[in-house]
Amino acid sequence: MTKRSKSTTLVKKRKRNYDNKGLLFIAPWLLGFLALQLYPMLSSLYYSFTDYSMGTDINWVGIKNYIDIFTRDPYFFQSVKVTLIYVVVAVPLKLAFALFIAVILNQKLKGINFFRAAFYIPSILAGSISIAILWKALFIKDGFINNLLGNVGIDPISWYGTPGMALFTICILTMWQFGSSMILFLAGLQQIPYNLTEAAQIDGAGKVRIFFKVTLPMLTPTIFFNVIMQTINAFQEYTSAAIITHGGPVYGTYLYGLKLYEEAFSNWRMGYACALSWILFIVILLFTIIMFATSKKWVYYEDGGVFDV
Amino acid sequence: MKKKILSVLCMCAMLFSLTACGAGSDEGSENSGSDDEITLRFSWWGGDSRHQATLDVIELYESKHPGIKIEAEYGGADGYKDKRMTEMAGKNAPDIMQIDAPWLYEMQTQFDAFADLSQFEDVLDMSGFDEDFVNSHCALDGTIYGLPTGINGTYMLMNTAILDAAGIDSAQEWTWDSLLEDGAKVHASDPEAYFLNLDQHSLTYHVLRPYIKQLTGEQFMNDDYTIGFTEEQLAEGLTYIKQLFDEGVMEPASESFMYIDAFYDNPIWVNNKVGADIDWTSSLSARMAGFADTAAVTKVPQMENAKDTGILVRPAQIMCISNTSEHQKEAAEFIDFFLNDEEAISILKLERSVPATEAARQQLTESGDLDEIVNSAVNLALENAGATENAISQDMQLENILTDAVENVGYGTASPEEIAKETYGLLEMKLEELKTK
Amino acid sequence: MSRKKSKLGVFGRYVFLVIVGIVTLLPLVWLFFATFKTNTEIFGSNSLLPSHFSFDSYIKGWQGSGQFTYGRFLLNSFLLTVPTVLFTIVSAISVGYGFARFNFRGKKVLKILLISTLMLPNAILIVPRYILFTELGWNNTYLTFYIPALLGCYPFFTYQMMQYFRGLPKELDEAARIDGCNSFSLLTKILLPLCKPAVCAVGLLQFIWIWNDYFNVNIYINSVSKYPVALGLRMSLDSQAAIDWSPILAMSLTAIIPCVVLFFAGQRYFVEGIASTGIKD
Repeated sequence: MTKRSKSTTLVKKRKRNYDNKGLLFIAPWLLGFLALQLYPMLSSLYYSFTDYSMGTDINWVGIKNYIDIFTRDPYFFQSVKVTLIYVVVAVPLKLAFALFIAVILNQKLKGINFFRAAFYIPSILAGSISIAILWKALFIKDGFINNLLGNVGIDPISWYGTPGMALFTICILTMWQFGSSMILFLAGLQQIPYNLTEAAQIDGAGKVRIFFKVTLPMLTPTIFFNVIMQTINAFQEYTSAAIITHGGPVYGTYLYGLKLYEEAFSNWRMGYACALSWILFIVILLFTIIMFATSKKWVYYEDGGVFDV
Repeated sequence: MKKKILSVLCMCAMLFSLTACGAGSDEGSENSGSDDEITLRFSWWGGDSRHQATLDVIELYESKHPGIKIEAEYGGADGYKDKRMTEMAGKNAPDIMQIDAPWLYEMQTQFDAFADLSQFEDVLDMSGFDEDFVNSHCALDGTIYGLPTGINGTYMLMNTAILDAAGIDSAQEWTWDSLLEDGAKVHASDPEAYFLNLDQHSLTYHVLRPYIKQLTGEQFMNDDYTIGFTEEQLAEGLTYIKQLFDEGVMEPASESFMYIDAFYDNPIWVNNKVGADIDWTSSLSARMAGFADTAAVTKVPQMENAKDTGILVRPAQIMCISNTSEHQKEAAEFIDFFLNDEEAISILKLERSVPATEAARQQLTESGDLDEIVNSAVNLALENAGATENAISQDMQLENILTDAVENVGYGTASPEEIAKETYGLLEMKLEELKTK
Repeated sequence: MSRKKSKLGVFGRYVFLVIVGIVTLLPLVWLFFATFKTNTEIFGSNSLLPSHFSFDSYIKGWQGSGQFTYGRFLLNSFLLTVPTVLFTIVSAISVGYGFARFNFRGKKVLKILLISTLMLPNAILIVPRYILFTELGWNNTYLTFYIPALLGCYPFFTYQMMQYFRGLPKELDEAARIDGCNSFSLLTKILLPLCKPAVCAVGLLQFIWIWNDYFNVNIYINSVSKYPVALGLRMSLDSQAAIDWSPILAMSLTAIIPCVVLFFAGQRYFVEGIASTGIKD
């Protein structure tokens, strides 16, 4: 062995020694991942093939739970339908609104801190019990909203009277809590180098044109990140439907998360609920994979990516 | 400077982890039970006034038994059952639990949750309780797992002011037909008022069930996991409910059904625009609070030639001891105090409906705490009680399927016959599933 | 001319913001006034203003129901939230640094695992975790929150910290190493001081999440003496008894004050922190 190669192996070795220290830093997570994520995940996968209902014996039933979900469960497809509508309506509306506000706020305006905070406060209230009362009382037949609408000549709307309207009213709640997405967009907007938009301006581009040709493309990584996170959350949404409508009327707001919780903690069909949660996981996974696959076409990267590995 | 901040941060983290460990070990000693102090966990649900009365009794008990500490785990009814069952699954249930009588079967068969109370007869006096009552509601296969906190019965509550205003004689005994006929008058005379106000749960439990049972005279569900009524009878019951909406006896479902389990928040209720409702006596005091002067009670409506009154009597709640408790005897002593002690009774009064022992009722009558209306409602139910329900008739999953049917009727998604057909199929399917379990 | 136009634009923007602001805040204003209303007014009338103002509901709400005052629940909320947030920050820094700055074997696989846990529905984990915590005797203690935080089980934040570290120039490391820093002092002396915005963002978001969490505390915490605000507020919610709403609304509004204050105090760092984490690169 030559002296030179010996020294390079030494450097390599030292480098590897140093790099292995990284394991020390990620050790807490490694432990947490194994004990509090991987293990529960695998046991839930196992449970999904059993008739586990806590307390009683566990019997292996093969894929019976999965078959039952698709062939016998009277509300599975209803909850899937409701959840898909919710995801497709609430997420884009919320994000579009959040983006719109963020663009307006992204100016040197006085009092911007106040507006930013004001728009964020509804997100802070998130799952508070007062939301249940607020959203009920505001939207009842003779409630505040209908009264306001009445002043401008609009007939009272039965916000919770039909399954479709009730779901929409829940979507409004989601939209109202646009603050956290707005913050993410604001942050993204501040990342865009000023000289880019300035250059476009000098070239004589109009504001709308600058927005669509410069700002929006530069913002696509943020939009991508937001869409992924918000959609994953929306698929699992539980609180709003649980505290305001209890999934009704006639299962009109019976979100998948609510069904899952009820099967697990009200009906104690743990095996069944685990099967449901794995179906959800696979759907979310598929969605994410599709998003990633298509992201190359519409997400602009300087280098690497949002979820770059 | 930065280093300082970091070290402060670390210190904080360590400090908090220490207090966390402190909290943890605290828990440990509680379970292992040191020699001088025993901690009993006691859980119940209720509203503010029940909480306060119960806490007062606990304080009294602790002052009389220096070695015992009772840790109160109380809250609202929402999610109470789910929470207890989660704990039972984790073998972590409170020593003493207030549960609803229909849960007993499910909790005991699934989790072997409760201790046999007869083994504590030397410290827990059960002589004051009606044996039949205890055996039919608090026992399974002859083993007693709980004691009733009070007697609960179904009844109809009327606000005579509303009925008078509509020219309805509130002194009559209602039939389902007369209710339909007179009921329409309330809304006709005052467009904001309705004769009957029930959410979908109550409508199912207090109208559909008694209606069908009066038709059949049988158990709602049979012990062999078959349905105790025919599809036609279900359709008849659902048709009746549809009529209640169509005739304006009840507020349209699109308004009233969003107050599921939130009865008291419905504007027509808070504005005193309701003529009557049907419910358990345990909540009677709260229900009539807004119109105590004009409140009157009567029997649940009957059908001509009814084969069963469909009127139910059962414990308001039952007090049980966890099978996993390490201090079952001490828990039994507490339950004895809670249900039999004169001072405890005078504090608890009617917080858990009319007490189940004759002695307690006597005591409250003498002290003037036994509300006349509540007492007469309980007596009405006792005198007219129908057959005691078997366990399977009280299954919540079956009940939910029926509630769905009532919701569908209310929103008019299909004809009662179609809904009955679909519901019947769902019930059969669920029964089959429950049977194999 | 153009200046006039832009002035008009600014004005228009303000008008728009104010309108959106009103629409956004109106429900909150309603909520605030509702804390002075009786149930009859809340559900039975459609006027915004209460018939009279008195702070009775705040006093009654503070007294709580039964043996503990609302102050106790508030204290519990801090005892639960503050350490959880600190542990989250510590673990996120450590793990984020580990992933961003070291090329150990199997890193790629582990990183994919970390990112995929972002997509893991909580529902999958909750039952087995509950059973595990019961066996460890952690239920009904705040350990059920502290330990997952300490072990980096809030992947969102770990991920954010990792992205932040990746955005810091590697030249810093080289320089520090020449100065004789080891991997730990490089983190604490050089990199950490630069992390303030990211730490703020992680801390603030996690604070709000844990502070508001109802689902998990409801599952893990049993004793009233350990109830945080989210549970304490629901103690008198009983469908069988009439609920006096104004004290509950009053206290739930009070409960968001710490979050609002934190947000106001940290919002500059907050936006900056997010700007340089989640969407960096």
